[in-house]
Amino acid sequence: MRLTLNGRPVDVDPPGETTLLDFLRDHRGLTGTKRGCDRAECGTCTVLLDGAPVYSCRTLVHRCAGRAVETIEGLGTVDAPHLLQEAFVAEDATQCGFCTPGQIMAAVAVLARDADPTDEQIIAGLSGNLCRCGTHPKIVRAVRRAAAAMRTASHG
Amino acid sequence: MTGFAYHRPSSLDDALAALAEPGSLPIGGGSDLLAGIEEGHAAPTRVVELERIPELATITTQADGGVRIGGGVGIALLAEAPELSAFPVLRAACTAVGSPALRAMGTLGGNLAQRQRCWYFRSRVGCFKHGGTGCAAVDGEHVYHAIFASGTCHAAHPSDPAVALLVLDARVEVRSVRGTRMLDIEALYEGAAENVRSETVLAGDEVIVAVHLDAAARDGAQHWEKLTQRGAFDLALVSCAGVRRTDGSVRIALGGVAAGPWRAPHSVEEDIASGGLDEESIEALAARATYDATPLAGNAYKVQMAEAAIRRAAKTIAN
Repeated sequence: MRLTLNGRPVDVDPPGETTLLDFLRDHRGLTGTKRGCDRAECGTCTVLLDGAPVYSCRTLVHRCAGRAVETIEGLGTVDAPHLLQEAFVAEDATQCGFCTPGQIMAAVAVLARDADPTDEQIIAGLSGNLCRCGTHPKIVRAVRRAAAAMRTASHG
Repeated sequence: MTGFAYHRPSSLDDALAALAEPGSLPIGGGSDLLAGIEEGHAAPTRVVELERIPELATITTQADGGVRIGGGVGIALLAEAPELSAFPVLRAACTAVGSPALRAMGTLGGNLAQRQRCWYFRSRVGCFKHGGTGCAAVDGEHVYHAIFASGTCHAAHPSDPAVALLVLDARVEVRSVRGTRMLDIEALYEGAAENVRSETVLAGDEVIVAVHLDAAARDGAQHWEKLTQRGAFDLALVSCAGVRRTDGSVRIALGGVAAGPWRAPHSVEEDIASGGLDEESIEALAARATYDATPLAGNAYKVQMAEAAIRRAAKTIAN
């Protein structure tokens, strides 16, 4: 099977039971995607499949055949961070940081749907991503800040 | 997780042939099946992908205004599908499912066929649906369980769309290599509390190919409400769907209260349909609707929630 991983085609033939999370972390070394509850109940392992948020712990990699997977590694780097990553830093929207990659990937999907979301839309869009440290208010502020920066960037 | 093969069929016939072989199970988004495999409730040697089969992946509006929804259509897509604009109760119920990711992953057929989320069942503790006898919830922790008992199991079915489909009189098209049959939603969950293997009547080789909505169920007044503990990313404590059809007839259903979606007594629906109800009579109707409730020691609060939800539904669809 072939899938697109962070913009690049990848040919693989993993066992049928391989989850996307195991594939990313153990087969590809992409450890930015975190294993939280490992049962689709926390959102920490969120990645994008054809632009939609999915829990990689409960998505079989074979289901991604012919589709595009995007992880936090595909979004930005330390030297060239994505505006969402910059905004999370600027708003101090992390505490332990473990849920942050999933929060950011879910936020990418929110902003792809609406460049100027209301707080209600942001909260609804991130409602499947839990933060045990309770940074949700700062996360909402960070997404709002990133949305403004992205609108400026696209108009500038 | 134990090993299994993944089969992407080239056609519906290919999928049905694969599912006719022992050890094969259908898979939608996988969020429920993979949990079941880890928990030991399912042990497939092969899973069969359904969501890309054309007959299962499409929503079709018929010439008469009825709608056929493929069983593999995603919940997120249904939540916003323009083809369902005349069925707002179903769109609202799909919007209420899980979280954005669970809605993006899940399919309608998979949502309807998902297993109970009872913690005793999921943790394989003293549950007759997992090799034991009786229901541990009766004398145990059961705040989320059913208030209308219909058999040994006291779990409440977790599907939101099933509740909306019940008031829309939806029919489920089920297919296997042995043929096709059409089931009412109510019939799909018949015997759910006594069935060890599943909450639906589907045989091991059968799949939900489509859900059919009749033109007569379009528009009118439609109402949806889901009461949860944490507001999002949660199962219903009680959910309520209500419709008043353009012909004036009324249907009310609840989720979170029984082994399958639960329909209010017909006499209650008829009295709501007759109209002219004041506060007092609506209260009496709601109390009558839950008259047969048999809550356990710790979940009688759900009876009050159910009555409140029915009162709100009655008011919304009466006007």
